[in-house]
Amino acid sequence: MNAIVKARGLSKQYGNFRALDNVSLNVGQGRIVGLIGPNGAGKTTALRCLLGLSTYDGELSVLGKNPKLERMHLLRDVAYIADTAVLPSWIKVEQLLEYMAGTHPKFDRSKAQQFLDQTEIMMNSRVSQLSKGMVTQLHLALAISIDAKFLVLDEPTLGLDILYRKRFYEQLSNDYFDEGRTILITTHQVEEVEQLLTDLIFIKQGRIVMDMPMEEVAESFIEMEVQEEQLEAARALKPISERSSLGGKVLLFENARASDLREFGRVRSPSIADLFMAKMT
Amino acid sequence: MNKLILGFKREYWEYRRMIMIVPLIFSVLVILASAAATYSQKYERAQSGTHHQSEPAQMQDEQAIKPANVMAPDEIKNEMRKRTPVEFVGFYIGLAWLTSIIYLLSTLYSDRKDKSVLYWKSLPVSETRNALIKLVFGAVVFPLVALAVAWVVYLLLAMLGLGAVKSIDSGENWEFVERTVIAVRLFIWPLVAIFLGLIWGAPLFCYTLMVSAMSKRSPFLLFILPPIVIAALEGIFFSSSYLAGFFFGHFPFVVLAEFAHASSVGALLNLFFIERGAGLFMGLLLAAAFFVTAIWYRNNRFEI
Repeated sequence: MNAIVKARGLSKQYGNFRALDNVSLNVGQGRIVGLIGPNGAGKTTALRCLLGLSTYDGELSVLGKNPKLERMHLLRDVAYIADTAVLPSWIKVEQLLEYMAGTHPKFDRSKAQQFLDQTEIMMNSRVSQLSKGMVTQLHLALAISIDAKFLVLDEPTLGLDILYRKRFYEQLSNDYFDEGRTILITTHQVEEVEQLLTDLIFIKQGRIVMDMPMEEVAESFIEMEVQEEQLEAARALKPISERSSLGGKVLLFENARASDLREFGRVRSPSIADLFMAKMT
Repeated sequence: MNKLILGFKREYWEYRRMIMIVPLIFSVLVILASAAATYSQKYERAQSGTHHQSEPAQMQDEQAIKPANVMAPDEIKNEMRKRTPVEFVGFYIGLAWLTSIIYLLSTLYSDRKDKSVLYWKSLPVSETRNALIKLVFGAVVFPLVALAVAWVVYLLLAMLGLGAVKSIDSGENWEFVERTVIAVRLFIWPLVAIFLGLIWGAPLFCYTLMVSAMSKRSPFLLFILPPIVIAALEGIFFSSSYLAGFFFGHFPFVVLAEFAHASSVGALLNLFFIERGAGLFMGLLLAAAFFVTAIWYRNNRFEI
């Protein structure tokens, strides 16, 4: 695998708070990776380290470069959307395009223009005059018009309604993604990116608690719906989590065989949200 | 080069109103005051039956000037100084520097406050370049824009008062002064003053930028408190005012005070580069320290 990101023993301390604790991970080229974790888990800190926006301990390489020492070079090949609120409110859309075209060597102004032509965003509008959804579309237009090898999205759809969220991810996969590009997304709305992701990383209290391709997730985790009378027998198989559902319990197993479980109840693949809950509690 | 120009454009886009509004408002006040004074004198003269021409207020004194060929050399110099626009443009430059301090205080702080710093930092533009552009924009572009407005207003008023100027141009010397010395003082001296203000006032400009880069809540408080506290502590414990004197003595307005009294550009340059050379050098060292600290904060502590 041609690794876009290689981290070994990545750590970050804010006073007494350990935001990242000995994190090691690889992100391969052509992957769409979801970095999922609760608030304060270290997602944003990890992204900031990748972009050279934060100091860190440990080894880190992004696109073969050291983010701490080669941030300027790195940012020519990396596009970043922090969240919906970070575009300056005073600037006009046409000024943003002019600034991007002049400062980013890989920005394609005509591509951004084409993308924006399909939206209701006017070129002479100020960012402050746009709705939250429009600002996100604008930021996405800027990001995907950079011929970047690596796109980093930190809660890109935070605060948007479902229509804009769906449209955002559709446009992302249709207009940006191909096998030569890599996307790293952090989000709370895991169910919306579930179909998009090729890899899943769970982070909790600064540590990676799960890192695997989506196809392995389906193989490694099985969810079983159990009736009360079978519950004790099923519990003996050591599920990693248990939750109540209508008329029974749902038990989640890691590295268990479906054939061993079927005699106790109905088995199925867990959703990412359920897996997340199981791993975080 | 393109990135540099775009950097200045970005500042202009964001602070267009701030950079223009102060000199324009001041100009409107000057023109209104001039018109009011002219009208008032016209009325008074009409009342006393004196025949006169209409002219702007700042030209009124000039009517009292005797022809140059009957003046003593010192008298000519003094009258020349009266006629020159040094104080006029100096006031514009001073106002621009005051505004630029507000700009420098807010420029790095405001994009941290609204989180747009994350967008700017996602682009391949270094913080050193950003901070340098902001410093030059505040310390140089603000006064240059104000100076351009001052030139327009001064020439406008001069044209309006052309009749008055003609009436005192009875000697060839004055014609010479009109065409050379005043033009030099109107166009060259202020540019020298802006340059000197930049390097002499560098500690203040860079300190302001540093405060803007490191402030978490109220940049103005952080701007005024440390110098006052340091001055007070120095006074209490050492009974001296060296540090406070050094800092406050490096305000760019010092250049304007000297600018108004200087006999030539050479004398002005000599004063700051030779007579006060050590102070200038120390000030630049201090400014460099403030500037480096601002960039460090910008790179490492940019979140509020």
